[in-house]
Amino acid sequence: MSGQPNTPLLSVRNAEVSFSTARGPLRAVDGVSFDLQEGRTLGIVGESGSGKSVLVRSLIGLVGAGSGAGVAGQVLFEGRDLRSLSPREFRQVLGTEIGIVFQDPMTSLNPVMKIGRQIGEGLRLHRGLDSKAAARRAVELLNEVGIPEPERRAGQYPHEMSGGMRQRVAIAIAIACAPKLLIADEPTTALDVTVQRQILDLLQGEQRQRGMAMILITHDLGVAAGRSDDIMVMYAGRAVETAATRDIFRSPRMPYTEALLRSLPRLTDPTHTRLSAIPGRPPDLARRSGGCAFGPRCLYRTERCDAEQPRLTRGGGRGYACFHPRGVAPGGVA
Amino acid sequence: MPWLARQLVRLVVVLFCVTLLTYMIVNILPGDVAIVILGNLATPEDIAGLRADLGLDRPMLVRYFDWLGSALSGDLGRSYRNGEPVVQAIVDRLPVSLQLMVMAQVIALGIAIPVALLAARRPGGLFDRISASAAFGFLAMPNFMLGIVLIYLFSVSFDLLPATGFTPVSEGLWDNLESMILPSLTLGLIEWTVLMRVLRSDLLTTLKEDFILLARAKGLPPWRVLLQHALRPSSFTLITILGLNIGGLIGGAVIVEQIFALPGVGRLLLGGIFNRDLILVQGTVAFIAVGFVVINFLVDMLYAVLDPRVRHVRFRS
Amino acid sequence: MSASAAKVAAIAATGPRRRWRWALALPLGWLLLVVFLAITADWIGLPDPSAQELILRRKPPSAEFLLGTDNLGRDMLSRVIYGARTSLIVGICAPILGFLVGGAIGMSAGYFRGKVDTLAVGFIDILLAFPSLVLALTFTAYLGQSLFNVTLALGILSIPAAARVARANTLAWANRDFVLAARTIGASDWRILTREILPNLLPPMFAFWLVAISVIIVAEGALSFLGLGIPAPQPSWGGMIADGREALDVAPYTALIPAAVMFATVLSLNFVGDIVRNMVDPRRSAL
Repeated sequence: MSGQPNTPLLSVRNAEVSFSTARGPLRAVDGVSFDLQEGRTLGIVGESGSGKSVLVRSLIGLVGAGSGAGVAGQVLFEGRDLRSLSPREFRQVLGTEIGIVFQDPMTSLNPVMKIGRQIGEGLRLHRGLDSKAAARRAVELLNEVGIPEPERRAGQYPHEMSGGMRQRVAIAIAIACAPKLLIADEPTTALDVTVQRQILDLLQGEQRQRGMAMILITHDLGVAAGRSDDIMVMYAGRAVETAATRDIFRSPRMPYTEALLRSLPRLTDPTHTRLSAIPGRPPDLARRSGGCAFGPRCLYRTERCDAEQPRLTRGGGRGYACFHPRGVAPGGVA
Repeated sequence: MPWLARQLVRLVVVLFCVTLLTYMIVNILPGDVAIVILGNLATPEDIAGLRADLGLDRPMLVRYFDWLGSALSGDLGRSYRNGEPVVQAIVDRLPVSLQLMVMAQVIALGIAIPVALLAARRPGGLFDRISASAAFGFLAMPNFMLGIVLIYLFSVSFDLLPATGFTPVSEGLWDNLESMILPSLTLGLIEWTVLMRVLRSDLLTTLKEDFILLARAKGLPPWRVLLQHALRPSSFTLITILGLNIGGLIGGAVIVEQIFALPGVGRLLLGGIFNRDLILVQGTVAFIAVGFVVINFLVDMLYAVLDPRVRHVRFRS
Repeated sequence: MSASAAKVAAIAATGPRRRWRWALALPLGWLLLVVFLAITADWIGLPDPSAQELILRRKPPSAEFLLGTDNLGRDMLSRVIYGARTSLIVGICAPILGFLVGGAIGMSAGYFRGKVDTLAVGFIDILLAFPSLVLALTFTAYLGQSLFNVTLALGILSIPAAARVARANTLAWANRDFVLAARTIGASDWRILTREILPNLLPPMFAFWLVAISVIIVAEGALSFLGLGIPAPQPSWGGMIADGREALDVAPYTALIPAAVMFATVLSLNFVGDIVRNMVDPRRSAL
């Protein structure tokens, strides 16, 4: 059931998510499109509130019906329109083809269910394993994600484990049914610095070994740097720059990306270099202006930026939404 | 001290105080107990004789410890009216009361859990609003009133079920159940409202948790998410309320046994009160209070079984 | 009661949700009617609620007897109204008694903490260790049946709940800045308790009191229903329902009318109580 060589594994067109709030409608995701090829990693980078998590959760139906959110746009997975599937078919795709790891392993595991059962649950439902086979497989998966004494651990509850261990368990759950796409939603943000790297290495290792595609959501450009093929930068619910990771780091186009890069510490910097912070705060999504959302915080803002909203222009394998792109001759497109 | 031992000590202390208080209420309230028993027309000689019989001439605390000593060896004295051992009277009637309370609780949970699950699926939806209104209405019905209304509807108007009386299981399971349906409905139809509200509210909290999102991301159907992932972590308050409500249930059982003429412990107590059967009342009240305390203790233990986090804290540290 | 109902209306009128205003009209109107009739019962030309007229027994509602007559030929309307008086006296006074004692216990426990708290909590635990109805009927059985004793018994029963509410709220307020400030300028414990903490305790206690009224009215009904509450022939809703139970097949209204009146009253009280509680403490409205 794998797609054509050129058909992307996941293809998103004009994704929108809006919530109705007491202060009027709030557009959390506004017309985002992207493609993800099999086996590749897409890093989605943005500040908290930029809509990156909402975007991804809406793609897999975790935001939408029942939560009062309005969802629009097209989502093709292996060429199939996910939003036109019956709930039953959709759950089948979700359970077998897509795995997800959430931010906080303290809350993303069921506190009153044994680890082994939580891992085996999807296998029993979607792969038709009986409880014994599922339990055996759960132990193997625990072993695979690097948890010592997997037999004993499978019989434990989440509260008996450390945060890093729990995140390993969450990864085991995500990969249990051998998905083609792994979504990691800020997988290390809630963890101790010392274990962040281990978890990222584990994710990357599993991805390579299994040939999965991965969406790595993070607020930290540095995390995405070494571990993604492409990067999509989001700001205020919109994609403001997309490019190969190398290009983003070499020559960011969007001033916001540039500012994000400048706020990263670099080994090549002399010691005691001040990290620059981006002045101002992200905009209030319920009160959008007609212009560029980043405008008020931008060093290069002009009248046009206030009057008109820049669209994502694509070309040369990358895209950006800015009237004054960096590294490009004024007026021209690279 | 380990948690369990501490709880056991507390249990013993509470039980001691409860039996002492029972003894005090029955013994030191105004009025001479002997007069209460014999009535105002009794001669002074009769009264003095009875007081000696009952040991009333000794200090109350001494009498209490006597009573406690016999109670611990399973002797609550004999009914002043018919000489029947109080323990025997209670044991004879206990099954009826237990059956009533268990059936009432089953009915209450049988309504509360599905209604709460359906209501929590779409908070603010039609079903949620209807069930909330129904709960509000039933909550305003005193049990003695609901009992009368049920008798009027099911026995007087439609003659479907017996209005009063009890048929033991030995005379047929169906006849037995038939005689218990209205009494247990009377209690259950009121009890479910509280349970439903608590469970619904906890379910709504649980359904916002990340692990519910993860369960949905596993592709589990909505009802499996509700039953397998949301229900158990949402049931702790329900268990507490279940325990706390047993007090109300016991009181309710007293009334319902009276309405439907069921030979249970509640009716034994009422009979004792009307007959001024001091020793019977004392024994029955103490028995009910002790039972209540012990059940609450057991409910507290049940927590540990249901919530591994509590078990962890309590039994391993 | 009318004063408190007016207060409820006042709170409701200024409340955040306007549609409560009309939703409140019906229950509030009913409560006002019940209170008004209970107060004026002696002056509105009602027949004696205890006057028996055996010839006129079990007459269905008619122009002469608006709500019919009971098993002993007593006027049901008159008995229902005088019964309201009984219910209201017990329902209002018993919680006040409980709140004075329980409130004092709870406030001391929450304010002084330590041994006082341990003792108070122990006392509350032990009172709560009895099923309340069993405790109530044991009390009235041995105290003797009278309006005063029923009120006393039910008042004692409301001590633990009142003490808990007072203790929890005192604990919450006792560490606030203004209380600490009062303490640093040397205010006495008594002054802090009465001037600083008590005023903050009143809104939640008032909301709780409204709920307690309906609980106590039901409890009084239960005691009277069992024949251990208000002594006959004094009318009480619970007693009337018990009387009517005997004639359920021939004159069902003798039980169903007091039952309906009681239901409407308890429902209205719960409704108003819920709204007031929502306003005083939105967090607890879920229960």
